[in-house]
Amino acid sequence: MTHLEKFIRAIHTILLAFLTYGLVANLLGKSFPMATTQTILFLLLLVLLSPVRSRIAAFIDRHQPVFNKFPGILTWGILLFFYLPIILLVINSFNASRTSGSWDGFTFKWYVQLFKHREIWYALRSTLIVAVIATAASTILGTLAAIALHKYKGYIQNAHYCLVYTPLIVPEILLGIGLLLFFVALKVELGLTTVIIAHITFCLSYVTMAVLSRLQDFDNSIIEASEDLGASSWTTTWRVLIPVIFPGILSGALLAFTLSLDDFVISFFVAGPGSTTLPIQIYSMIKRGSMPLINALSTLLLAITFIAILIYQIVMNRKNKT
Amino acid sequence: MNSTRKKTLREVLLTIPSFVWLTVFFLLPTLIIFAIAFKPASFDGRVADGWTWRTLLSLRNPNYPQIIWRTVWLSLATTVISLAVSIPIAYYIARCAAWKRNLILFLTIIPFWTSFLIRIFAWKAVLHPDGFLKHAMVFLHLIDNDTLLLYRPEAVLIVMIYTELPFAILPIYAAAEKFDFALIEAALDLGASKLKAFFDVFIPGIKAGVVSACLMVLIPSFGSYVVPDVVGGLGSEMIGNVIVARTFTDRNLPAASALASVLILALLIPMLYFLKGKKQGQNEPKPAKEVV
Repeated sequence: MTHLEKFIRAIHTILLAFLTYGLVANLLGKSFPMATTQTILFLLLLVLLSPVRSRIAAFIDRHQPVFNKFPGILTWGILLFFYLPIILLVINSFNASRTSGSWDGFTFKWYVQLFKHREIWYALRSTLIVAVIATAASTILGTLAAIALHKYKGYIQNAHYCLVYTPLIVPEILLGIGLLLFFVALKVELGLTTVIIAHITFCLSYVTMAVLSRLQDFDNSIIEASEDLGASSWTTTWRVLIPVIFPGILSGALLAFTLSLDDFVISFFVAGPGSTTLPIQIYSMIKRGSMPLINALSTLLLAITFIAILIYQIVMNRKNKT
Repeated sequence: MNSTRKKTLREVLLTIPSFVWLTVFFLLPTLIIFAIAFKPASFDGRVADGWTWRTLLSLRNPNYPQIIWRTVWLSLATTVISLAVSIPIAYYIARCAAWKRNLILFLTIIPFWTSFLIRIFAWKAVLHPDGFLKHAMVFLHLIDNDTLLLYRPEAVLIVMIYTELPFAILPIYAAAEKFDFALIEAALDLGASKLKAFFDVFIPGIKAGVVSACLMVLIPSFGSYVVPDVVGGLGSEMIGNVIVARTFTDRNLPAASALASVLILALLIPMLYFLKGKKQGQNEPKPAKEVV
C-alpha cells in the first residue's frame, strides 16, 4: 500500500469517526438545519465507502437515463449557484429600496452617492499604488527565481523551491499575522510601505510558478543552439530566453496585479492608519452596513473585471491565430 | 575552474534576490509567530521584554475547545461537500463538447478574478432577513418568520463552499482532462456497471487531482476569517476570528500568536504532504491557481 493510499484511508477513518460523533451529538439535540446537513453528509459518506454501494449501483443501473444526466444537471446547477448571488447584487444596485426584499423602482442614486464618496477614491488610489509597485517588484524577483529554479539543481534550489512554494499553501491569515508581528518586533511603523512589502511577498510565489510552468514547457535545445552558435550568455538570456518565457511573465504579472488589487486579509493585518486599500474600505463599509452603496461599488468593479477578462481573451485569441 | 566559479556566481546572483526576500519576509515572520507566543504582552498593545510560559496558559480559555471543534467540523464539511460536487462536475466538463467545456471553464475561472469580499457580501444580501430567499422560504412554510438565515454556522458553511468550490473543481478537472476515457468504456465492456466504473476506474485515475483539491480546500478553510466574520455571528466564530479579535480588539499580540502557532502546527502535516507530493514529480498535487 502506498503512502497515498494510507493517507486517504486515514482521512476516511477520521471523517467517519468524526461524522458518527456528529450524528450522535445531533440525536442528543441540536438545531434542526445543522442536524440535517450533518446527517446528509454522514449518509453520503456511508454510501461512498460501504458495501451498500453495490446495491445502490444496481438501483442506479436500472434507472440509467436519469442518472446519466446527473453530472450535467449538477454542473449547470452549480454555475447558477455561482452567479445567482452576483446577479442579485447587480440588480439590487439599481433598486431604489434600501433592502433587497422589495423593488421600489429603478434608480441611479446609489451610483451618484458613490461618486461623492471621498474615502473610496482615496482607497482606490492607495490600492493602485500598492498593486503597481508590488506587481513590478514581484515580477522581477519571481522571474529571476524561476530561471534559477529551472536552470540549477541541488539542495540550495530545493530549499529555494520550498521557500517559494510554501506561501502558496499557507493560509493568508498566518502570512498576515506573521508579518504584523515581524513589523511590530522591529518597531516598523505600519503604512503603505508595509502593505507593499506584504504584497510583494505573496505575489512573488505566484509569478515564479507562472514563469516556471512556461519554462518547463519550452524546448531547452533553443538555448543550447544559441550557445552553440556562439552567442554570449547575456545575448542568449535577452534575445532567446526572455522572449520565449514572456507570455509566462505576462500572465504572472497579471495574476500578481489582480491578487494585489483583491487582497484583503493580509493587507488588513499590516495596514496602518492612512494606508486603507479598497478591499479594506469595502470591508469596513460591509461592517457599517451601507449596503446599497457597496452594491453599486461591487457592480462597477464586476463590470471592470468582466471587461478586462474579455479584452484579455480577445487579445489572446488573436495572438493564437497569428 | 574559472567557468565553474562563474557558473556558481551566476546561480548565486539569480537565487539571492528571491531567496533573501522570502527568508526575511516569509520564513522569519513565520518563526516569529512561535517566538512571540513565549513573550508577555505589554499594556500599549505591543510585546514586552523577557520570556514567559504564561501566554501559553491563555490557550486554556474555556471557549477555545468549542471554537476549534467548530473550525474542524466546518472545514471538513466544506472539503467533503466540495469534493463530492466537484468530481461529477470535472467528469462532465472533461467529456462535453469543446465549446461547452470552454464556456464552463470560463465561468468557473471568473470568480478567481472577481473580488473575494464582494462574492461574500453578495451572500449577505441573499440571506438577509428582508431578502427574497427568506421571504420565499417563509412563504413555503420551510421556516417561520423568526428564523434568521444569516449569522449561523450553516450560513458560514454554504458561503465557504461557495468561495472554495472553484479551487476544488479546477485541479480535479486538470486531472480528469488527462484521464483516458477509453478505460471506462473497457470497464463497461467487461461488464462493470456505470457506477462501478465511475468509482473504481475514474476516481482512482484522477486521484492526484482529488488529493490536491482536498488540500487546496482544507488548508485555507482552517484559516478562514472573512466568511465567518461577515455571514456568521457569535455562535459561528472560527480560529481565524479569535486570532483577529486577540490582535485588534484586545491588542494582545502574544495571545494571538499562541493561537496562530496552534493553527500552524495543526496544518503542518497536510502542508508537508503537499510539499512532498510536489517533489515526487508526475502525480503532483497542484494549487488551483497554478492551473489557472
